[in-house]
Amino acid sequence: MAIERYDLNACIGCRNCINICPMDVYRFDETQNKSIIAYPENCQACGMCYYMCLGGSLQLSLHSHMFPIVPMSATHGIDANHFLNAAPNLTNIEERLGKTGEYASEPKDATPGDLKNSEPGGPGMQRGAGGPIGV
Amino acid sequence: MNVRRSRRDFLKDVTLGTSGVAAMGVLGAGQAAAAPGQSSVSVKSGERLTRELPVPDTYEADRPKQTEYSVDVLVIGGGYAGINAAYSAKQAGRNVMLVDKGRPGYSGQSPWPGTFNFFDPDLGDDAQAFREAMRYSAEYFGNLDWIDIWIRESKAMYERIKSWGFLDMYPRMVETKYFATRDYYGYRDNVVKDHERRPKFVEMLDKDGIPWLQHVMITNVILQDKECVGAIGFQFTTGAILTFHAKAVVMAMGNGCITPTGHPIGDNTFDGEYIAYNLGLPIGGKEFEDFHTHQSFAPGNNWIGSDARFFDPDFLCGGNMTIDSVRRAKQQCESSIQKSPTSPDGLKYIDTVTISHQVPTRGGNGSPNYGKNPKEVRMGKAISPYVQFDAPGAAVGMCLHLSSGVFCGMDDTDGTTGIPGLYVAGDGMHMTNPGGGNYAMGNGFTSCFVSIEGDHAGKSAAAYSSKASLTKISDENIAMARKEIELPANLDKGFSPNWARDVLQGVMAPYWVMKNKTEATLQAALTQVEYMRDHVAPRLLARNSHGLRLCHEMKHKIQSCELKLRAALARKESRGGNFYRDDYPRRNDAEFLKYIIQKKDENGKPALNFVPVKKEWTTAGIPVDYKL
Repeated sequence: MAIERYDLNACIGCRNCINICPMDVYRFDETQNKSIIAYPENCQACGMCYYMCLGGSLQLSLHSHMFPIVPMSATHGIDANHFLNAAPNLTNIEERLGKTGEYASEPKDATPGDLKNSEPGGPGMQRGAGGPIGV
Repeated sequence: MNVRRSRRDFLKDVTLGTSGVAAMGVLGAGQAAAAPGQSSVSVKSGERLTRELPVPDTYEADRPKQTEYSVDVLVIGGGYAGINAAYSAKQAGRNVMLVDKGRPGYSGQSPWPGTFNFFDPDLGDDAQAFREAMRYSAEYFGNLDWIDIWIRESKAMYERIKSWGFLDMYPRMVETKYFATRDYYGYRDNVVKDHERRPKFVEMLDKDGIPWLQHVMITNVILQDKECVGAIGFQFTTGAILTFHAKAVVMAMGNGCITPTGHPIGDNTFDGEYIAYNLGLPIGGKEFEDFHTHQSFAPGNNWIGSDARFFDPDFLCGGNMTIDSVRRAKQQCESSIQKSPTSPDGLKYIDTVTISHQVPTRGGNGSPNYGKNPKEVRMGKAISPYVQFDAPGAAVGMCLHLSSGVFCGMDDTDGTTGIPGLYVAGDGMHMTNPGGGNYAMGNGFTSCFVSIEGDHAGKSAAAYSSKASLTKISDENIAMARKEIELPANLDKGFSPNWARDVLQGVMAPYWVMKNKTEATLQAALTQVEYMRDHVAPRLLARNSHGLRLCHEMKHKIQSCELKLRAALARKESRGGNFYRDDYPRRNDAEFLKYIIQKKDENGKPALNFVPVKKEWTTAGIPVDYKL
């Protein structure tokens, strides 16, 4: 999982990303006034640049630098394709929890953003397909 | 900086240059670059540009105006410990400067606390009850002197942090309409607005007239005549090598972990521990593991399940700590650190294979408010409706909060290292060890506690610097440090630090090294790490200043893993969920109610010392009314 470009045209050159990033993922093009994702292999997917991006030019991707996929497949018997195509959306979790009844112990004050509000497959992890990343 | 360029590098630049021309063409033909400050951009579908411009090696706008600084107090690290050290030293009238490997507010662990805890007798907190809760959860070797300091000072620290605006309260994302569509920007612009705490770190520094530099990695703290005279490092965005002459230095450089993508504190790489160990300072508490847990279906992926939480306020929690609520906390402790009242020595046997396959639960999801006092402001919140805290181990190699770092002696209360002019503060840097072998006293403790540590260290450094005179770092020492910094950039051949990172992760991450430890598995891991220390670390290759940082971080991580494994091998007993030996599953107070301290000996090898905890911190002398 790493940051990736949603639309370079949307970058307004605010430099929040390059200032904020703790992993030195960014460089900057002074002539074009655009940020550059220079070292995505060092992205820790903390999401701070994405959240503070004033132009909305970034997105977080599960498809690039996807460290979680292999151990997930190995330890839980989940096909990586399942992860890539469907994303581990909330419905998956709900089903898993439902099997054991542990979901019933959810604290009451956690209900406003009820897991059940989420539909299968969405909100998608790609922007423009039902909202920004979030699973 | 002199960075030798290879033919391969040259070809890489040519390739990027070509694609850059194409990209610029699109930019030119499409919309013009928006003016800075414009906050909304309408994007028509089908017109997105997802290519990147050519990558320059440096970010020149970052370059500091000067490369040499002279100050009274240099603070290294801009997290909660560092900014409090800088603030307190500045309040004492000293000339202070702060350098951070990231940007203050966004580096290390400081962006991530979800809760903030303080002690308040006016709201019904019972100091003795809290002390006993800590004694129990700390496995009877927590440092109760520091607990007492926290009981006395945490409310004042809360008021300081609050005055900086770090503790503004606003609705959680899940309480707003923006959650249903995960509209982070809507939440940011309409709910969070200027309550966002992270940018306020630099606002506070600017307001108090404390100069600061970002993206600076300090690699060397310099001693001359056995006294600290400053530090040297480099800015990885520009390659600038920077020298800081200082009467006193506070190292607040954070903890560490070894992980590829997916955990938000990946820039914490034991830099301070590496420097301190090589200055001959004793390092303790390395064996205890911090399992910042994640979902087992997405190990190491902090964005799945915790994303909204990261943008919520830093909630106040704790509260109304009475003997009754402490008994409730004790029950929680039994689950979180695998204690068992029915077992002969109070510990459970742990089967990690079972743990790693458990269905996600909501354990630890809430920020506890143990009491039910209606006047209580520290209500805590369930920080996310997402499922959290399932399988342990995302932050591989991270030391338990507050347990590891420089051991400053049993009576230390200000991070004095024994080296005149050098102080330590904060998580992973200063072994204050209030939680002993566990971190089970509840949420919101670390951010407040390290702030107090920073405050103490800053005041002590200020007092020292008011009496000391400035000794400049010698040209010889500057030249030696520069040579060491630039070494990875001057090799012709070598290893990729990213490759080394993944190899080290592979060595350290398995549960038979991190969780269910055995003599054989620890020894096997140590053999690998020693090989990496001798044969990989010296050959890490940097192509530019970005890579240079990665090379030095890898060197630091390898040393830290060695200390961690040696400490784990030495502790032949178990202490609950944060330190468990399959081959010694029972506690052994007679031999191991001790801190394990490692110090570099005259041959350059780590020498082990066992320091018994104070008797009054153990089971002796507990008042009858407070026996749990």
